[in-house]
Amino acid sequence: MLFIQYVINGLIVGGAYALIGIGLTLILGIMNVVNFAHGEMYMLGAYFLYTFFALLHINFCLSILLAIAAVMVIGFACEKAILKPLRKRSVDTVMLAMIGVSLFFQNMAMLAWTAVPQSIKDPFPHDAIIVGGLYFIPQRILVIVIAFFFVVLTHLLLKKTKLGKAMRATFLDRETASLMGINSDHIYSFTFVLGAGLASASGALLGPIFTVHPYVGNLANLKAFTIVIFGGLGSFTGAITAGLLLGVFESLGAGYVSSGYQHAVGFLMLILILIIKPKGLFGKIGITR
Amino acid sequence: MKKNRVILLLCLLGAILFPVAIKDLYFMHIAILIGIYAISAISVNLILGYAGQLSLGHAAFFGIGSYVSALAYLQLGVPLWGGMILAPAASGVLGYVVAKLALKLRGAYFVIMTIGVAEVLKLVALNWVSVTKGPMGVTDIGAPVLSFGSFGTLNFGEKVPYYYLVLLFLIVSVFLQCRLIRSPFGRSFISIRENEDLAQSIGINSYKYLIIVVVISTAIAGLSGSLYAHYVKFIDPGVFAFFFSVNLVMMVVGGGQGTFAGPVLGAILFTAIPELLRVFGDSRMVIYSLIVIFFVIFMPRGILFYLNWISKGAGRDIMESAYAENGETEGSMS
Amino acid sequence: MSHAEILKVQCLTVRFGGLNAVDSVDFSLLDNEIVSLIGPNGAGKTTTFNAITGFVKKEAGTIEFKGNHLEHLRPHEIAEKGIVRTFQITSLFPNLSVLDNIWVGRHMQEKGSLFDTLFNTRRKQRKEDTSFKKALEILKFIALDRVRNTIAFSLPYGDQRVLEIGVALAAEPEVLLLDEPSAGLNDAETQVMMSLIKKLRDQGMTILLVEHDMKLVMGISDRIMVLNFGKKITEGTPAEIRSDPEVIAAYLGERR
Repeated sequence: MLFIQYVINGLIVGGAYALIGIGLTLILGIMNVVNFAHGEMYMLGAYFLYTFFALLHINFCLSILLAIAAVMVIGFACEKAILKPLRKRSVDTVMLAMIGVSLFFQNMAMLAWTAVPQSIKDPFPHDAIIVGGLYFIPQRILVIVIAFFFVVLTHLLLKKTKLGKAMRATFLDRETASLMGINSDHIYSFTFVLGAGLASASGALLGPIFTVHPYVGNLANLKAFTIVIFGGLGSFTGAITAGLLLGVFESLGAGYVSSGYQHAVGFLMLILILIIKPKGLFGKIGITR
Repeated sequence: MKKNRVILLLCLLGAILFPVAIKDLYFMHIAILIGIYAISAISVNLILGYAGQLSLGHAAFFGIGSYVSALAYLQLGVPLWGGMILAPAASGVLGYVVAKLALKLRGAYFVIMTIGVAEVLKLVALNWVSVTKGPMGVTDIGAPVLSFGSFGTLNFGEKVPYYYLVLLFLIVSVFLQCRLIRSPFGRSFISIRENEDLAQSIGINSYKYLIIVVVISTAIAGLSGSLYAHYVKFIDPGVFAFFFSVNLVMMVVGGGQGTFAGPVLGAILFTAIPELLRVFGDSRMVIYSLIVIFFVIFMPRGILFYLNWISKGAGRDIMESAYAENGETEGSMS
Repeated sequence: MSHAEILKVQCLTVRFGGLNAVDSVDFSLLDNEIVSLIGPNGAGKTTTFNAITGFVKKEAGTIEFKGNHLEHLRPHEIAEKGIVRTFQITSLFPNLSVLDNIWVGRHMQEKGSLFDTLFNTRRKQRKEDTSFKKALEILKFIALDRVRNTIAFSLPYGDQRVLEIGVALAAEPEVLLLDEPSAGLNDAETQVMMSLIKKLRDQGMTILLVEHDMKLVMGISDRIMVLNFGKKITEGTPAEIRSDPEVIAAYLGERR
């Protein structure tokens, strides 16, 4: 029974993890950008939720949407200011530049919100709903519902819209896609904004669960990369699967072993997949240099 | 070449005379830190500048060196001299394990692994309280006192003697780097950086050589960690900070990767810059991040390259000034 | 000049996602001959090279070189045995000088222990002296000694392709696998390449080349093998191949 409880908890967090993973796998796969600032988008998502909800007292669900919107704007600015000018440079240069960007956001967050860790108290009742011996906290249910919603939304975007088709084409073969008349600048812009949005959604959803501080992005980033590598670069299904698995394993690890080393679970998964199947569960390609 | 020798000697002379001229304790402190970080930067330069692999987790090896040296002193009474052997051994072994795992792939996968290692070690340092004292850190790490009978004592707990100790090891590291690069070993790392497939086709076992360079690099990083621990006399899980790894990479990139002087120059720059930025108070790190972005975008070859370019005039082939220092043409036989 | 069989490839098969890029190919190389591997684009020629030299996984097949089996060896181990290949796309050490490119090629002859390196022993210095002299010899042989200090990426294309061969020569191969050595070269440069390859054969090397330029192929080959869709369809002397209807059909009209 306890085991199932851990698994359920893990799936909930894993759902949010899937969002950040999908965002990164899109950016990595379509833009070939090693986005070390991805974790900061997560962090900003959490902080904006805090600002809109706890400080400005805006409706909780609306705050989540506003937070996502705010980070998407920031993501757009980032892409235009940093990534576009560096389009022709090497993967390493872009990687290091994004590290600079991540440092920038971490420290701006420090200035804006101080280094004191904040916790976000959600407005829902904190008594668990008990179904069949299992405990469900309302906020957690909201997390999995919203995460699921965003995953489906993204999936529909990619599979059913013209834009999504263009993105998938760019993912498969950048040059040919642009030869076919796809405006790669627009695609890249949109991809990055979408990725940032998903990361911030993850942050906003998990904000009330974990405490928020300016350096939380480091860990989020590492987990995002673990998810992408584990699931397979560029694989949507892979990101979802890996995200859920990470959530579950972390939960089981925290429950049965120790909560201090919880975050090391992801690293173990990383080592495991690199030894067994470096391309990831569903992956077919690697990061081109 | 002659000009380089003269500049080198002048710098050496300046470094040796520095404590005689500067008595201010704050500047001595910065100088010692620069020395320690320069040794770490050289270790990163070996992997990044010469072998072409980016490591964003070198804090892991620096940190392991610090903790091993510190704990050996506190738990086992091993003085600094022993720590300076244990630390590189420990970080070298860790480096070997990481290399064997992470070098199955290259590029961004390797980078992520290195970041992960540092994060995990930080977690261990935070949680294994019985050994590492957790977030409280390890204190009272002592530096040795050598007594020479009637000639007096040399107390390494004081800044000036420690400065010369660090300077000595810095010189040894620079020398080691030079020897290593101007050799078949060095040529094989460089060729792997330039074109790994081609290197393999002429008989270079890239996996093996990359592991060798990682082990040497991490051992040197561990040594610098040991020097750090016995200087600041207190370490905590913060030695594993991601920021520190980033700063080390910036030292190499900003100074000039793949050159002999680059990491030292970079260490001076990127130790001085965060200090100088203190005047900006809380915005200090924001400005630092902007400087990082600036360097990465506009000066990816590092200061050394652009200095050369300016001093030698525009007519010269750009690449020569950055790589001719490796001296693999007829000058290398000396 | 003995003509013993030096390299024997049997039933070589390479699969890429359900397709046999190389399909059960058999051939031998005799000592000291020039053999050309020709065929339309996509026939599997470069893949054959990759398979022999360990750059690509084989589905099946054996590769025997002077009695040694090479199937499970990695690229650098195959180079150690004496087989060196060049690449279809220009492959050099871009930021190193011409001389350094060749110097690196001498790795197998030059490598030593860490001890030698750290203490700059006389043994190491002697090896480096030899390397320097040998590198200069190769530079003169391929006529690039006038540009020895030029950085590789700034060389004109024709010189780059010649340098690639120089790098391979530095590794002192017995068998040289050249992948489209004359790709992108004009007529004059192709002539230079042809005489270079012939000189190498005259010095005792065995050469297998992948080529599209029929003048070069017909001009210097002792034997020619033809691949199409991964299968070897025929082999023979230039005269035989030139008039073989199957070969002509495979190319849909003869290339010049």
